[in-house]
Amino acid sequence: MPPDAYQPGRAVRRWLVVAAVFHAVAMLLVMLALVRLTPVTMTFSVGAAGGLLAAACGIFLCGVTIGLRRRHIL
Amino acid sequence: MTDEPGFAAIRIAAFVACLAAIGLVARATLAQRSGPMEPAHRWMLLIGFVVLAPLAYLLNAGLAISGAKSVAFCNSCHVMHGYVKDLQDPDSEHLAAQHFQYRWINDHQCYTCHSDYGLFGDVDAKIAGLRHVWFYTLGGYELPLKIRGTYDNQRCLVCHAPVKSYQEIAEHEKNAATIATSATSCIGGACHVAPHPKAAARGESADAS
Repeated sequence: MPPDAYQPGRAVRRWLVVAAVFHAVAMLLVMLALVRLTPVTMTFSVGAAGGLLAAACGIFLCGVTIGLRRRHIL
Repeated sequence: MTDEPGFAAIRIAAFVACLAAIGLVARATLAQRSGPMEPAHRWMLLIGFVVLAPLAYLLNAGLAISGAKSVAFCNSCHVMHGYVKDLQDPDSEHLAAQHFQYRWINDHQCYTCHSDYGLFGDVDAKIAGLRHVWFYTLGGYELPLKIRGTYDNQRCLVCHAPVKSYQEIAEHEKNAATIATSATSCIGGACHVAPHPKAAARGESADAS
């Protein structure tokens, strides 16, 4: 398949939306701590946001890997 | 909460990185619902997920870990208001207030006396902080507040032990071994005054500030 003709499948797109939501929530938690640092916002911005961001990046990189394999680049 | 010099710029940079990351990822995700993915959208996702978001996260984590040492941070829990109020009282004769008022400890006064020195001192302090957050927000706590375990005299000795005026006191020399192991406390008895008012531990002045 030529690289430009590759269309991500529906499942890949759904996972991308999930990753985008995780990513947005993580960034909002970080912004909350940047605006007002308290023990609770610190815990969420470092702990919960870290987990969400790791999950979002993991999903994104899995999607990239799947795309590259389908295009026979990997 | 006041920033240390230079931290305001880092805070703004992290905030802008957060907004940019959300914008790029949202734009690429919403715009690319069908058809082949455009290269520009691929780059937006890559920069949003892998560059800007981790950058913003790390900047915030650095600011948060540094900011968590401030007295204002400790005072953000209302149960600490009584302690900090006494700390800031120029007429207070409690040990912590004296250290604060005379700047015997220049900055981060709560953290300096309530975290251990050495490699794992900061790590232990962060774990203790997580425990405090849990009990304060979900688990509940009992009044009067009590320090967990025995206060480690090494936190005092790091500054005081090398000082000649400390070494010249006969009691310090006589009890050196038990002071070093914290078997004999620096506080109470015929030694030094209490670090904090008892009313603060009972939460009586918690609503005052």
